[in-house]
Amino acid sequence: MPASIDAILDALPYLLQGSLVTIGVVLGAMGLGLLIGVSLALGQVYGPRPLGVPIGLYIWFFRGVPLLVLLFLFYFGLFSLMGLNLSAFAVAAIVLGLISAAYQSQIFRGAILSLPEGQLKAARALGMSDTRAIVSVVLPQALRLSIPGWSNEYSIVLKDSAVAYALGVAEVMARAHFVATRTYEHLPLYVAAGMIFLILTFLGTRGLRMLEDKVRIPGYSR
Amino acid sequence: MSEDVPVLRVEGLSKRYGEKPVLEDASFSIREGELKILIGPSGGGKSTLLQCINYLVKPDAGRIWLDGDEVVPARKRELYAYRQKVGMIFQDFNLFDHLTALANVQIALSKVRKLPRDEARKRAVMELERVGLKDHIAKYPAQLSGGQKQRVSIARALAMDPKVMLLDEPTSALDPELITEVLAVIRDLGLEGMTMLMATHQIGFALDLAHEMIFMEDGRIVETGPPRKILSTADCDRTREFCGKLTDLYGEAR
Amino acid sequence: MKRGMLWSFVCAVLLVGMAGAPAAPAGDMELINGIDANFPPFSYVDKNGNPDGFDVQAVNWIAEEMGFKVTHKPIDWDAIIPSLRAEKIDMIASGMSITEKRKEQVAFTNPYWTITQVLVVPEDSNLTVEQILSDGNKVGVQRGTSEAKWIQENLIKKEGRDFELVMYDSAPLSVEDVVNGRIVAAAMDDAPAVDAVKKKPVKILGRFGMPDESFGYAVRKEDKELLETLNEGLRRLMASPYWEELKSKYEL
Ligand SMILES: Nc1ncnc2c1ncn2[C@@H]1O[C@H](COP(=O)(O)OP(=O)(O)OP(=O)(O)O)[C@@H](O)[C@H]1O
Ligand SMILES: [Mg+2]
Repeated sequence: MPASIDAILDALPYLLQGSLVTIGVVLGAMGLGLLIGVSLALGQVYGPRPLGVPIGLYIWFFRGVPLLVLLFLFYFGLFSLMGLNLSAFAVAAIVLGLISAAYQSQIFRGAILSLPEGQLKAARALGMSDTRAIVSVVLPQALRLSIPGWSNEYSIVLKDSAVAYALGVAEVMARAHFVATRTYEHLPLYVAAGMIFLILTFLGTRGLRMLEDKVRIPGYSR
Repeated sequence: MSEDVPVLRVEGLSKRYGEKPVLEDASFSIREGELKILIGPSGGGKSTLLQCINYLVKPDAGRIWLDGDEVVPARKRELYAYRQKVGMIFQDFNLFDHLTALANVQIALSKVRKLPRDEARKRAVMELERVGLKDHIAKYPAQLSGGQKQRVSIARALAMDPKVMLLDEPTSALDPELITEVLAVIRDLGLEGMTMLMATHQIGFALDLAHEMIFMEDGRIVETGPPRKILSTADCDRTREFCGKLTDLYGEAR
Repeated sequence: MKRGMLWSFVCAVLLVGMAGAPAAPAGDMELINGIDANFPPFSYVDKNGNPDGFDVQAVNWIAEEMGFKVTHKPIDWDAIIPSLRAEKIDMIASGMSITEKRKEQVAFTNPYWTITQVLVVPEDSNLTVEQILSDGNKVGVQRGTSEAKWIQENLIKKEGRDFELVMYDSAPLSVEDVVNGRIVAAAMDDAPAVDAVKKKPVKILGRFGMPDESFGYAVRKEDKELLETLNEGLRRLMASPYWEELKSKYEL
C-alpha cells in the first residue's frame, strides 16, 4: 500500500492541474446551459405555440443522443464544417452546455410554472412589458427556485465532463489514465481521481447551498 | 378636460370561455371622483370585467375610452401606458414575493416610469407612508400581515399616478380584524377624489361612500343605481334578494 | 442579494466566453503531433505532465533537423485518425502500425520500426498459445488497434477459434486484468509488453501467428510536402547516432 500512496502523492500535482481543466469545462458548460436553458424555458412557457416544436426537438435531441456521439459530431463534424477550429476544451464545454441546457430548461420551466399566475398579472397591471415583467419579476424568483435542481445538474455535468478525454482534453480522468499507464498503478490513481471528483462535487453543491441561503427571500421557511 | 367626459368609458365588453359567456355586453362609465361598487354573486363575472378593463384578460369584443381617448390594445406601447393609468388591486394582493415593500412600490417607478433611483425611492417611501406603512418598508411580503400586504399593493398602484383604480374584492382574503385598516385607506382615497371601480361585498362601506352600485349576475349588468335604492327598492327581485343576504352577513355598519 | 445573482450570471457569461474562444490557429510550420499517451515507451506523459517517449523525442529531433516546430497532443486512440482528418492535428507519430485499411484514410511515411505482436500471460502461467486461444478463454486487447482487428478477422472469424476477445482502453489496462486473473492473456505489441514485464508479475509467452507490422508516421493524404519532409527527417535520424541513443534510452 505505501507504494500506492507514493504513486498518488507523486501524481497529485498533475491531477490537480487537471481538476482546473475539469472545473473550466464544467463552469463553461453550466454557464452556457444556464443561458440557453433559461431561453428555452421562457420560449416554452411564454413563447408562441409554434416555437414549442423546435424547442421540443432540441430537448429531445440533446437528451437522447449519447454524449460521446455528440462530442464527436460537433468536434469532427459540425464545427469543422462551419470552418470553426475550436479547441477540444471549448467543444467539450459547448457540447456539455448544450446538453445541460436541455435538462436545465426543464428545471427552469418547472420553477416558472410554480410561480403564482398573479405575479405576472400584477407586473402587467403596472404597465410592464412582458419582457420587463419576465426580467424583473419572473426570473429573479424562478432562478432562486431552480438552485436545488441546478445543484443536481452540476454533479451530473461534473461527472459527464470526464468523457471530454475522448477529444484529448487533459482533465482529471485523462490524466489519471496517463499516469496509470506509465506507472502501472491503475487502482490508486483511479481512487485519487474519484476523490478529486468527490471533493469537486462537495465544493460545488456546498457553494450552491450557500448561494441558496444567501438569496433566500426573508420570511420564507426552507 | 371638459366636465362631461367620463374618466373611463366601457362599451359592449364581452368575454366567453369556450361556449360559456362570462361577460356579456357590459357598458358603463365612471366620472372623475366617482366610486362605483360592483356587486353580485360569485361567478357573476366581476373579476372578469375588471381584468378585461385593463386587458389582463383579453375581451372578445368591446371598446374602452380613457379620458375620451379610445384604447387600442394592439398597440403595445399605448397599452402599457394605459395600464399605468389604471391601478389594479387584486383580491390576493399579488405583491412581488422577492422584493421588499419598498422595492415593490419602487420597481415600476424605476423600470416603467424610468424615474431616477433617488426620486423613485422618495416617491415609494411617500406612498408607503400614505398607507401607514412607514415602519415596514424594509419587510418582505412574507413578513407582512394580509392587511399590510394589501396596503402595500395600494401604494404600489398609487405610485403610478393612476386616473382610475380597479379594486377586485380587496378585503375578501383578509381576516375580519384586518379589513378595517384596508377599508380606511380606500375611504381616504375616495375622499381625496380618486376615481374607483370596486368589487366588494362590504355593503356598509358601499352605502357610506359609493356613488353608484352595479349589480352583476351571469356575466350581465342587471341593475345600476344609487346604493340605497338598489338595496331597498331594487327593481329586480334577484338584486334585492342578494343584497338582503349580504346585509345579513356583513351588517350595515362598516 | 441581487448582486449575488448578478455576479453568478456575469461569471457564467465570462466563462462561456473564455471557453468559446477559439484555440490559437496553428501557424504554418507549427505542427501538432497527436499521440496516444497510453502507449509507453513510444508515447506517454511524463511525471510533470509533458509528452515523452521514443516517438515524441524522435519527432522533436526531426523537427529541429528539418526546421519546423512541433507540439504533442494526447488524443484518445479511437479519435486519433478522425482528429487528423478534421485538421485538429497534423500528424500521428505514436506507434501506429501501417495497415491497408488505414492507408485508405491517411498516408504513411516509410516504416521506421518493426513490431511483433505477442501474448502476455501471468508469470506462473503454463498454458501454451494453442491452449490460450481455445476453451472459451478470455483474451484482452486494446480497442481500435491493428492486433484487435487481426485477431477478430483471422483467429475468430476465419479459423473459428473458441475464445473471447475482451476490449480495453489501453494495453496496460489489459495487463492489469491479466494479473487479476480476469483474462488469461493479453495481446499487444512487443514493446509495451517488455514494459509490462518490468513493472508487473507477467511474462511474454510469444507470438500468436500475426504477421509482423511496421510503424510509420501518419499524415493527411493531401499533405504531400509534409510527408516528404518527414520521410527525409526519418532517413536522416535513422542514419544518425541519436537513433541508437534513443533506442537505448527507451530500452527498445
Ligand atoms: N380562465 C378561465 N377559464 C374558464 N372559465 C373562467 C376563467 N376565469 C373565470 N372563469 C369563469 O367565468 C365566470 C366568471 O368568473 P369571475 O371570476 O369573473 O366571477 P366573479 O364575479 O369575480 O366571482 P367571485 O365573486 O367568486 O370572485 C365563472 O363562472 C368562472 O368559472
Ligand atoms: Mg372575483
